[in-house]
Amino acid sequence: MRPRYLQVGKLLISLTHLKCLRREELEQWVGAERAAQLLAMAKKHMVLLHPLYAELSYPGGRLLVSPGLTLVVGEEFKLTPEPIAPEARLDEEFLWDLLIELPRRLEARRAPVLVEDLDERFTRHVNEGILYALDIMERVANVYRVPFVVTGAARLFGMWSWLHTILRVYDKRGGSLLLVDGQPVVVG
Amino acid sequence: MRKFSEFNVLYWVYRIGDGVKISDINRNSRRARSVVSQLEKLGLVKVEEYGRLKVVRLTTKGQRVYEKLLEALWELRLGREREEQAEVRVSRPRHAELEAGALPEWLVGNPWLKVIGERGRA
Repeated sequence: MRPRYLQVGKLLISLTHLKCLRREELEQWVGAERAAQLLAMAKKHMVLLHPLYAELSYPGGRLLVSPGLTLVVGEEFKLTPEPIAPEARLDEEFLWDLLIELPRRLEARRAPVLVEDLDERFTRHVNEGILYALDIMERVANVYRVPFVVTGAARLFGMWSWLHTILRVYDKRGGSLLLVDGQPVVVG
Repeated sequence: MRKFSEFNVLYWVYRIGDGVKISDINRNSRRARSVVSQLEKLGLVKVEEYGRLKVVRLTTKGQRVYEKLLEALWELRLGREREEQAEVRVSRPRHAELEAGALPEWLVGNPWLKVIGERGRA
C-alpha cells in the first residue's frame, strides 16, 4: 500500500498521519480554510491497519498490551517486539517528535512505542506539556493502532485514562507491592 | 456449527489481523473456540497463551491471505472514492466538516499548542 502524501504548510504528511492532527494545530500552520479542506480529506481516508499487540514482561509475569496508552511506574520491564522511542528529549522538540517524526517512523516500521520519564520531559509548563504529550500519543496510538508504554513518576497515574497500569507501590516500612491494572501481583 | 464458507474465512482472517484475544472473536466461548478450531484446521491461525489470556494469531499462511485481502480492500476503496467524487461533482458541493468545541479542556489555553503552531509555520 502506497501512502498518499499531502503538502501541509512546509511539511509533507500522509493522509494517515493527517488523521492524528487536531484542527487547532492545522489551523495554526495553514489557516482555517486549508485546514478544513485537509480535515475533510483525512475524514474520508480509511486506515487499513491491524492492531499491533506487544508483550510486556515484568518480574513475576507478563502482560499483553493492546493499542493505547500503558503506564509503568517503578518497575523494570522488557517490551517485545523491539520498541521505538522518540529521539528528541525535551520541550517542543519532544512534542514535535511525537506529533510529526514518530508517525513517519511508524509508517516505515510499525512497532510499540516506549516513552521514558515523561514527567521529566519539560523544563516549563510541566503539567500542560505532559497532558499535551499524552493527548498526542493517544491520537497516534488510535490511528496507527500501536501500543505506547509510558514510564515516569507515580503522579502520571492520575493524569490520564490509562489502558493498562503497572505500578510498584511502597508502604512506610519500605515493603512494596506490584499492582497490575490495579490488582496486586505476587512476585515469587 | 455449519461449515465455513470462503467468505467467512476471509472475514475472520481480516478480523484477526495481527492477533486478537479469543474473547474478542465471540463472547460466547463455545462459538469462539469453534471458529478458531476451523481456522486452525485450515492452517490460518495459531493460539498463544499468556497466563489465562489466549491470543489468536495468524500463521504465515494466514498472513499471506491477510495481506492479499488488504490489497483487495485498498483497491476497492480507491474505486469507491473515485465514484463518490464523481457523484459529488454532479449533485452538491462538499462542505468541510469541522467539529465545533472538540478541543479537550487540557488543551484550552495550553501554551504548548501555540509553541507547536509556531514551529509548524517556521
